[in-house]
Amino acid sequence: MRNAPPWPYIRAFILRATIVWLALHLLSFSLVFGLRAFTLAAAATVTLVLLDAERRNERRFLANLGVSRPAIGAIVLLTVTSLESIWRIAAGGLVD
Amino acid sequence: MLKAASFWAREGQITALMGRNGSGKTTLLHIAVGEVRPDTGVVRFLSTAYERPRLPVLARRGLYYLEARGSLPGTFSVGAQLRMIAERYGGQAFDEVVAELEIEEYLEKRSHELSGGESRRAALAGAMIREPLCLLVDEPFGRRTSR
Repeated sequence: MRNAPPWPYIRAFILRATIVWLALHLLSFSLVFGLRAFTLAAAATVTLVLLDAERRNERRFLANLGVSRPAIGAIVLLTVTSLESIWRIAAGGLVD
Repeated sequence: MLKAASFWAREGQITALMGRNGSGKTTLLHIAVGEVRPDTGVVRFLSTAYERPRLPVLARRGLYYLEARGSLPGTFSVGAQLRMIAERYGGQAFDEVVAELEIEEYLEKRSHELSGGESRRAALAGAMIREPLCLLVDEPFGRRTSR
């Protein structure tokens, strides 16, 4: 199989993004973020996970695989947005 | 500071860049892969000129960069990461490279569990599996074991 994305790393970024997103929710004691808080939380998550990906060897390895930092950022942002959407729907259902 | 430096690497040849410590060899390689931005100048790769080269872009076109003391990340096992390279690019046969570099026993280990020379060999295996059009290696003989 050629051109296969590095799935183990993608899974690792999704896991890291989930942990940071969860930590932000727990630290803020918030079930559902407002729009501004969500934007800040998403930005913080992307920054934190990208900083983690900044570990030199990991970044170099992924670059040699043709994976750029914006691509990693996009994966993380998509993960955070998805988690937040699912959580809002679930929490909204609970409130109702 | 690096002033007015340039070098060419021709296809099918090994090009060596030699100089004293601190003369800017690594800086020049960093410029070539976009790690350092020069004040002026351009990087040409496969007839394309890049004013702001980026390693992921060059890597997709066939470049592989192995930095000095560079090793595979410790995030996953050596074998898992070498398989990622093989699945991404489908280069030289995985088993052949592993046998040639005698790294079978390291495949299940992570890079930080290996000695400097062993981890360098594992990183070199990644480059060999990739079979790049152009391989940039900083200090190719540094940390290599006698094997």
